[in-house]
Amino acid sequence: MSGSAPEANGSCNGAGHAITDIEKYLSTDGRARQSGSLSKLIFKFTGIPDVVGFHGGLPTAEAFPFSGIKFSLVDGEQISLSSDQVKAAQQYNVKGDGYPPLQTWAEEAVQKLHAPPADHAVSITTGSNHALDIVLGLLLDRGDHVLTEEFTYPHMVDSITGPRGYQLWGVSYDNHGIIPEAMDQSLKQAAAEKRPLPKVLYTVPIGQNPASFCIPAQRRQEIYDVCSRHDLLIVEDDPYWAIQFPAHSDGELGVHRLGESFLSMDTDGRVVRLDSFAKMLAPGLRVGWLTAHPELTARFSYAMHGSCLGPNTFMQVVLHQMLMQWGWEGLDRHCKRIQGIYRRLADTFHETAQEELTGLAEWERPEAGMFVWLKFLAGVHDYDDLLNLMLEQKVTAAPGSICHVEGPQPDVGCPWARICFAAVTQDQVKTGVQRLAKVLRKYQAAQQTR
Amino acid sequence: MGSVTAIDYDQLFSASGRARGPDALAAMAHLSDTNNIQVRMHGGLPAAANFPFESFSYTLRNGQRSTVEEASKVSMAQQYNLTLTGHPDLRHWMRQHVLNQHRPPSQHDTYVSSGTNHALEVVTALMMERGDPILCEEFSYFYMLDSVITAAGYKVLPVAMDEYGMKPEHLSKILQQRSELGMNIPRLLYTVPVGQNPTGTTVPLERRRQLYKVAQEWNLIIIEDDAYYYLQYPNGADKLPGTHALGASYLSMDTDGRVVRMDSCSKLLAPGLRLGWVTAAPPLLEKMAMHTHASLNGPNGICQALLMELLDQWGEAGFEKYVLSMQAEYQRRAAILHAAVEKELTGLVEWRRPTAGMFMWLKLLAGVRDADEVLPQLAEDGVMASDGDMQLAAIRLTVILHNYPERHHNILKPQPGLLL
Repeated sequence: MSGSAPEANGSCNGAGHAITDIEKYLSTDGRARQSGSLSKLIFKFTGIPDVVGFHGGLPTAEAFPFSGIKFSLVDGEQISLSSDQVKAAQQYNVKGDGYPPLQTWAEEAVQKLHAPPADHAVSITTGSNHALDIVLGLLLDRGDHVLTEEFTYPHMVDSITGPRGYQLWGVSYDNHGIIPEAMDQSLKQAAAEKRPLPKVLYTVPIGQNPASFCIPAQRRQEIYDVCSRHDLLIVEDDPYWAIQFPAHSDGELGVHRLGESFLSMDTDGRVVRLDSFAKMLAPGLRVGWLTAHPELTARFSYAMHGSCLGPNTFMQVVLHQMLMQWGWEGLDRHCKRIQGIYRRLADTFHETAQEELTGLAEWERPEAGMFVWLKFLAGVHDYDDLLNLMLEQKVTAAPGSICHVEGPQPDVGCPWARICFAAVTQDQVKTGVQRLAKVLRKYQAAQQTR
Repeated sequence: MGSVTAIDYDQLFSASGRARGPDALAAMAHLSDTNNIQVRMHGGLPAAANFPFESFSYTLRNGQRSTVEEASKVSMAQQYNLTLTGHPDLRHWMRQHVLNQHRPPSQHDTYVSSGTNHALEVVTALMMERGDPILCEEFSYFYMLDSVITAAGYKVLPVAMDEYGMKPEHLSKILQQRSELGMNIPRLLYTVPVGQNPTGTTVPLERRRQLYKVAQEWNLIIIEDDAYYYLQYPNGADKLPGTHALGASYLSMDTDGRVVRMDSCSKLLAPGLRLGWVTAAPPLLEKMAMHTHASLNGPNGICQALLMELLDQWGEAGFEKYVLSMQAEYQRRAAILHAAVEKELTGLVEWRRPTAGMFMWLKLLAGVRDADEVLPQLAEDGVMASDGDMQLAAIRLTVILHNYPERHHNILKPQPGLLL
């Protein structure tokens, strides 16, 4: 893989703690994870001409039902798979890290967009949700700790860490992300008190779910340095990376001006970056890609393959063909188009909110992603106070408490709501904000008459 | 329909199984539905206006073609799964198909899976802890052994087989001995009852009834992994069974709700779709659906949409015709391999003519004690076979070749020194 050796970068930076032995970071499951023996055999002999392959359980391509596949794109492009591609699209994955042409594209994309300074390897994934579930399973045992913002991706809380028995450490954040001093202090204190330390920092650094902040480069470096000092791995879950629409920018950013990821500053090899096509293209495809230390990526591929035999080859083949036809120009154009769509929705929300919600709530105009993190004023103690009024006015939002690291707690009020402005139309955004305003005014009025 | 399950699944779930519940936003989605709310800003769904595809179409080998272009279908295909059980129309088809095909005698439900492998990971995680035992046929599906069982630290309890599958007496004996020794009784029994991987065995009805009875005595949950169910050809090319004579599944005799049946699109249609369907008693199925959704957000939408379009286009008659054509294809290849083995290897191996699926199990004679003695040389001669790392004088040949039929004859000629 490209990138200079970790040791060299370590000495370059002075403070670097390059990761040389990934084993010590792995969980029990992670250490046990090996490539399946039959997989090894299949992968080893894939592509060798003239081999009579009696060994695998690969059904014959001649029996596959589809002989032709075509996709029409909204931008007018036509994708038509070749006969070989149609066969490949219907066959099992023959490599653990995904359909080779797409994996090659992903490697190139990572190099072009992040130029990671340490050794790394890239695998196609079945989408970031599954990748996250697998990665955490490789790194953490039941009872282990994950450090994250005080409010985080709710799916993490209810669907991953809960059932797997991981402990979430919430750390303070502001509108630029986790506060490095708070994180550092928290870790130092735990070490001093000989309490178990987290092994991983989990963060969604762009358009954070739910607080919608974007971590700027300087803050990122500070966060990275704290992680390096305390030897945490960083799981950079970046589904909204391509959905950035900063208020002050010279045109849409496209795909080339998206800023510096944690991966791009990863001199130690401690970042596990999850990229996804879900928001960049569509979630129903169930395809993404992961970048990490080569040994960790290898374990990841084994685990993913063992879990579900890899991402559906069908969409991998279609996506690869589409990306080839688009080229980087086409992908850039597509990103600009969707950035424009999200920008308009975000602006509509923000402008309508300024008219309707000033004094009733606090929020920041989002610069990326799909969410607005709204704090209710008007004497609201918890989202639940408003639920009946919201149902009556026919508008919904996500209660902030489901995003809290400790989940909803009955005696702790959480006057926050996560508003998703993405899946509604421009008009519905306006209507939604107006209804929210009505809810809050009604609530306020009811309080005042008490 | 029959009674609700007699199994108390709450007693059988693992720690993570017990902790598995609906996601927090599900409640909000439900409220939105019941209150008829259109302006929904609670979920994390991206804008459909951004989705790249406008339509997609397929052509089949027989020339039939179709296009998915209706806006709501194209949108659904690209969006997250909005239910835990997959696309409603596809799930409905699968559920109905299972009811028609198997007529389960107690209440079961069905969800669209992301392939059987994942379903196996899910069901074992829901019901087992690291170190727990699981009963398997003594020769079993490699991925299950390697990537599910070994990786999670479960322990295999192999059950001896004869030509009809697992031996009920041996199954009873294992359980009886464990009970007497105070060892923990396994919860799960894993079986591939048709065209078994690797032995090619299909378990006949009477044997199934005996095994089901043992499962009842010891309260085992039976995982019926039926990847080759539709690919049966026991009576040769002239009497292919279609969908109407495929024999009785474990699900069809499941009075207790102890069978988890896994159907797969991989061998019937194509593995690249990563689709299948799972049927189980409602308390277990609900957990499996939640876990599947939690881990990988359910099956990919484009392939679900394509499959639904295909099934709609075919109708029942078309599906029947397709199943027959697949049975014919596999039967033809099996017959060629069988003839070649008969011609070249009689006296050197023992085998049975395949009646289902894609594997032929060769027992190596001629003084061979372990397949490792011959596999490397086979490989040198350009023939890949597998033995699954077992200490065994047997190899599994895959009936499906990519260059057939002539090459069969050449490669199966005994090479000098190979099988002596």
